[in-house]
Amino acid sequence: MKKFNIKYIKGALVLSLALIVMVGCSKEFLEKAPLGQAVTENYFETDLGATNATNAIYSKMRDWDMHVMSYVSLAGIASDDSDKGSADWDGQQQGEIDNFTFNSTNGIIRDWWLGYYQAINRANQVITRVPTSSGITPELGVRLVGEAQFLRAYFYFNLVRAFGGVPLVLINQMPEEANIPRNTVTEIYNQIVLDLEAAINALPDSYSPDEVGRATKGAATGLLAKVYLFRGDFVNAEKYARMVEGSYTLDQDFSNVFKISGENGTGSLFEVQAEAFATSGGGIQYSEVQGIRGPLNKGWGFNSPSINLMFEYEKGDPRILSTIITVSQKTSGDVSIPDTIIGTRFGSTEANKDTIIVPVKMILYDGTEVTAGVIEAQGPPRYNYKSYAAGPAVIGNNNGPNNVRVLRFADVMLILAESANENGNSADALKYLEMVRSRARGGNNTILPEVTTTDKTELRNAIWHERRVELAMEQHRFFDIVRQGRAEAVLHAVGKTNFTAGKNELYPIPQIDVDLSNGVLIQNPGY
Amino acid sequence: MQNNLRFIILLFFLVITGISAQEIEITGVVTDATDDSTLPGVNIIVVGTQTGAMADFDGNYSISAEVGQKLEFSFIGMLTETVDVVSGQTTINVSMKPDVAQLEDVVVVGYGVQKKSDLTGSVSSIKADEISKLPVAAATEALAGKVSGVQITQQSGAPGSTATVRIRGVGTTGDSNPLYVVDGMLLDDISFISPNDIESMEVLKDASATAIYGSRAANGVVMISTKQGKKGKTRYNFNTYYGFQKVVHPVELTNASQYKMLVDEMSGGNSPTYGNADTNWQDEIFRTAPIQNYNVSVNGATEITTFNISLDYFSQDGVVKNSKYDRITFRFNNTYKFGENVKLGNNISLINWNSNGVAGRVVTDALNADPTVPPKDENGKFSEVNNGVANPAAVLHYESNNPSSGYRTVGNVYIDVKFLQDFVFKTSFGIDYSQNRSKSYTPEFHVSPTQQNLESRLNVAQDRFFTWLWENTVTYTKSWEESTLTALGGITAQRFQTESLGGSRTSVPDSENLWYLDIGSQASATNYNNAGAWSMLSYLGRVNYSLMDKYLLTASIRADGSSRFGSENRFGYFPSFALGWKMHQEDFLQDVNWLSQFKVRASWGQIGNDKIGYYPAYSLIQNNLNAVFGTGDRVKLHDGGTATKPENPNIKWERTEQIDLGFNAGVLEDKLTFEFDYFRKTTNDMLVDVPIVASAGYQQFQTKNIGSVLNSGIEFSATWKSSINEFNYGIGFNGTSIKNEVLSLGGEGTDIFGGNANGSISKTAEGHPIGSFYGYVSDGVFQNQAEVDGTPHLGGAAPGDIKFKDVNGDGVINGDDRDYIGSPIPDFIGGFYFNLDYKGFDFNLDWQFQLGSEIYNAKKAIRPGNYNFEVSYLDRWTGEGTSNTEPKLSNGGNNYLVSDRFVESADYLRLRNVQLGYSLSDDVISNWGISKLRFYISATNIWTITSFTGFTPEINSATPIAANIDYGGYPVPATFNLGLNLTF
Repeated sequence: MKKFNIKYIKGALVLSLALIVMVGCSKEFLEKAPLGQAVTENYFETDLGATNATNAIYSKMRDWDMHVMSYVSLAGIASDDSDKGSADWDGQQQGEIDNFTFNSTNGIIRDWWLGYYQAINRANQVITRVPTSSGITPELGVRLVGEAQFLRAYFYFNLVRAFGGVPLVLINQMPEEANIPRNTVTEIYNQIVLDLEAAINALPDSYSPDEVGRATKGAATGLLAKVYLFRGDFVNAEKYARMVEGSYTLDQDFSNVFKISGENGTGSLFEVQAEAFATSGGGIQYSEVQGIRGPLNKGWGFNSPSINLMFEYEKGDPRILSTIITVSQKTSGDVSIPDTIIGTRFGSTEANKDTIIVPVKMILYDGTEVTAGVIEAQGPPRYNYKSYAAGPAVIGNNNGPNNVRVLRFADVMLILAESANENGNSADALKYLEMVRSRARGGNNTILPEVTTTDKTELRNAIWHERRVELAMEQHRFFDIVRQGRAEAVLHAVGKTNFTAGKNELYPIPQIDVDLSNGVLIQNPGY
Repeated sequence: MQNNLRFIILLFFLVITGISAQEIEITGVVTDATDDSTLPGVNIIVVGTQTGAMADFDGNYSISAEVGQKLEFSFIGMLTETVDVVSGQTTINVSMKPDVAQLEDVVVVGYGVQKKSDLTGSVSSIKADEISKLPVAAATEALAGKVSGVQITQQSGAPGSTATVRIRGVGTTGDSNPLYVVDGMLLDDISFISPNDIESMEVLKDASATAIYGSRAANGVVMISTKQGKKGKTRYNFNTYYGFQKVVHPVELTNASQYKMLVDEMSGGNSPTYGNADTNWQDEIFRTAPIQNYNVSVNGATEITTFNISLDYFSQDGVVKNSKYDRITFRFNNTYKFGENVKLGNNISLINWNSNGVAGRVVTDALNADPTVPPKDENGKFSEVNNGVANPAAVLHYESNNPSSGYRTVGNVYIDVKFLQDFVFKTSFGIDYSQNRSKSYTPEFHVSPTQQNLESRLNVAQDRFFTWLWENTVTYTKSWEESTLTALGGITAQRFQTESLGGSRTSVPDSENLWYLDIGSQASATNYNNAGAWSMLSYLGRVNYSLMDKYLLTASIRADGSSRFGSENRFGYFPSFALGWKMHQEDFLQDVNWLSQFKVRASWGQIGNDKIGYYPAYSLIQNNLNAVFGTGDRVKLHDGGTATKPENPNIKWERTEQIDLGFNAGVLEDKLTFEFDYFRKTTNDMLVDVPIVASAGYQQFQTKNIGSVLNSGIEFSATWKSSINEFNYGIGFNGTSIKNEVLSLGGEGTDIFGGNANGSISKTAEGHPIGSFYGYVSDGVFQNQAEVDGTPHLGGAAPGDIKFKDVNGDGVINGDDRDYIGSPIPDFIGGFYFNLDYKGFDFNLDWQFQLGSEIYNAKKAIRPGNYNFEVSYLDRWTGEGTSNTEPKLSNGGNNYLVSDRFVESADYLRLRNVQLGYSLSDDVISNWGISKLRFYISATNIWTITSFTGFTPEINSATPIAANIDYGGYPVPATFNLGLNLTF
């Protein structure tokens, strides 16, 4: 019996020894490196990590909360260019934005707020970590930081335009440290200017065919011109707009600009890059949310071009045909277009505007035939052609291929025209306005007569009109009319009488974020 | 060993024989009184001598004794029998009875067992009969209403779903699930275990009982012991039931004509197109579904080994069409003795399960869908539901191909070695390995623009989980004249690792035998692979001391080092201390005959919760944030990745301090037993997923050690067991009061918002229960314009809108007027039962109740949109004086803001189970070689008294910060079943 005990005591001792060894290794046992995920502090030490972190900023721009629903709603549906669209029952939150009945709980507004700050965080990581990292090729590091600074400037530009002064976060912070009061509009714009000036110095003019889509010097310069325009600093707006004048040309075929083949064209300064890969992962829902409802199965039909926008086009302006998909229709929300106009013209109430053909059938550039029969009965009668996803969907409409045109040369040239006019240089203003109109004319001299007035106000109105039709449905209009100080007049004229001056020029800070800030974030006036 | 022993006995024999000539040789057979089987291995001694013998494998023994001496027959688990040696009697057959008291008195505690009477902690126990009574997959549901201090909520009625277990309130806004210890294996998920295989479940509630599990014990511990082979005749058991489940309380919705009327009214003449059907969508997705269970087991023991082998099959079809779950469990529990001092044992189970899940939203879709639309049009094609809801019938048809299956092995092997008389060394090595496979196939289909899939797609996933646990303990037990000491020390190590691997392709044909990735389009192939792990190294120690069998002391400590904790806080220490006093042993109570036991207890201890993710202390890169660059045919994806979450190197376990004061009393030979506890549980450094300010730019939540929560209350249980003639009956009642209060959420008062229906619904804030509902307070409905004009109101308010209270009295209605409008945590929970048996009949009623909590009916609050209406909408305001509770119809807007309009009482009283059984009498069945044959009928969840308008007042509350919000989940059905228990 005793033998057994001794034997097992020996066994126990061996086990105990094993345990002591185990305990000795406890540090190692308890500090194993994370599986399958890189640790941030090591990640930015290599060219690959720094490049990937920069790519992640671009990736964020395709998200729902950046250039999809919140973009088409807050920058588009809110304006006089478009109606909510979709079926009557669908998209009440978009409807609230269309009608200015939203309050601080509107989820689409929150998307914008959240999405842009997440994007800013990704930019901040590159801007703060790459310069202090020793393992990165210096030239690459400079370029990546320049890209991030361009992007951060663009993000703050959209935040400040939507919400006014916002918390200015420039480094990666613990959440409690980032809960800071709103900076002033001026402070935000000052930072935007700093970032863009740095980006202009850091970025190349162009990239290899594999890298097209990254931010360029021209994109940063053009955006800075636009930023100064929004600040009412026409001297600087003109200065920076002139800097890009020689670097880009307008695609002489306006209708090509929004095709897949027109992506990153000669007149493109910056686009959100997307592609419908069979593996998915590169698509964007920008086209889907605006696509044609019904058997054609292109999407949900939000952001429907308004009747008012159609009337804005001058007689024969071909750009309308590349901007609006519409066929002879039934009723829409407020204007009735009788069936009798099928295949004919309907009269404009304004003498100087053309009557508009609403055809029975419209053949889109990919050969798709649109008739009333392929539009869902409850769907809206008009769709944004500029966001049209041609051809069959790859995997699904949510894997949309269309780049979102953020900054076009035509936009910058109209900024140049507008600034020149404000700076008293009507000759140049007319010159650059004509540059845009000439392209639109497409060689047909019977339409879009050259503007000749040198009256500052008349010319300003002509330029504003040109901005509207040239850039229609590209999510510029709402911020433009606010900038121009005429949002109330314009929106009330189209029946959006809930728009309240002094309040609705800005969107409310999302209630949930006001709550989360514990009183640090002060709500915008009127909300 | 046995040979040694026999030799010694023989030697004694010879010596004794040599001394005395008056001895006679006695022989006989020892049997088990319960079933007359023979008992091997029984010890027989001649009292007062050193003469002994042991019964052989057939229960035969022989021994020499003098006339007038006594023979003592003893055996573990049996009552000791003493028989006089009488002149002329050379054959003594003994029938031994099981020691019921001894069996019932022992409870399983951490790293050991203890006599119930010696417990200083708060431990509740339920036994096999109760556990296997309900027709459910999850064993923990048996605790519902049975054990004080424990709240069980079925998360959903989905086949195979588990229950939410809350022990003594909700101690954290994070993971509040208890630790499970199954035969010594520490687990989080016990879905593998068949209720039929469980011998007992012990719920360890206070810190004295749980602190030995340290950083994982803050939410309480559920100890599960599976059935072991018992000495005696080999038993063969067959248990089965078959039944049906049904949704007994569908949500009351408007029918087609009511729906049209309401939508017309709401849309003000701009009505949508209606269909001309009258569809009850709930009927389209629900069905009466079968549930069944078969269990075969054999158990027994020999002198050297014990064994329990069981095979169990459980199958449940869901009450939502196309959902199902089945599980096969094979278990073998064995022990092997190597001599007197060494025992080797194993508890091993092998599981295979299969299930098919339905798209989670189908129930909500059925509640929302337009009832005027038929499920299919005249061409047999699924209709487009006009109001923006997916056609629920089409969801079931196209999006219910989600087969998954898994294999799992949970088991341990251990060796017990007794040495130096008083020491036992135990080493146990256990593993939990599971491999799950799931597929999800969506065919190409088109119902409407929002309900379509352009390319068929197959997703395949495999998940692997592996845990090993090695535990080494030494126990020292020593008794002196007046006192007993048990000391335990141990070292344990555990490692967990998980890995997921999956992929997808499109263009996969719609045929289950072709649902493999290779057949799909290679160009569409995607894949993923990720992993996580943690490890823990622990030291533990405990002392139990009993003085004069009156005064009890328990002290324990555990040190846990975990890879989950930040480098600054690698180890945590968790002590406990408890005292007990068995007052009924005192002289001054010896004359109080009616009092059979009275013990008072007090305990204090600290315990932790470590559920904080695998790597919360690290800032990690989120992969696959890829960018698109390139022009023309050079367009491709460029890898992207960045940090999307903030790190927290200071993160650590949350610490809970608990005190417990209680007593146990037994009256009239324990016919009436009573147990009472007061507890006060304070959680500090609470781990909270805090929504973070958007301007930080990270994902919306971060886990931090902030905050403190108090749970306090009393719990009691009382049972009465007696009989009148041949009526044996029992009555039991238990109740628990819980006061839950957030004491602090960190210096800044960072309130936590949860849930969402037109704003966040729940708010966790200082001074209020976790996850309290927070919103506007209604004060009736504006009856006319004068009332609107004369009262503070939200912008756009008109007659018929809800009049919200100006809570802060500033004359303006805005977000500052929101208030606490309900709590998801009940004030009082409990249950009671009544059982009765008479001759062969047995009858049982189990009730469960809950008082003082609320549910947020978010499924009613879903607007805007022309969704179907709950019938309460029919009581809407339509003009002055028509309603002061339901506002006028509006499609969204302020009437749908989070407010008490949608808060309903969650009080209920439920007949949890009613069962009637009949056992055939022994006279009849013994002829067939059967020792037990029982038939029964049973009904579960059939009757609930509640004012709640949803399916059931049990709402998925897995996340404490957004608990009791009813978005319309998978309903918990009622079950009716027939069963059979057979033993031979």
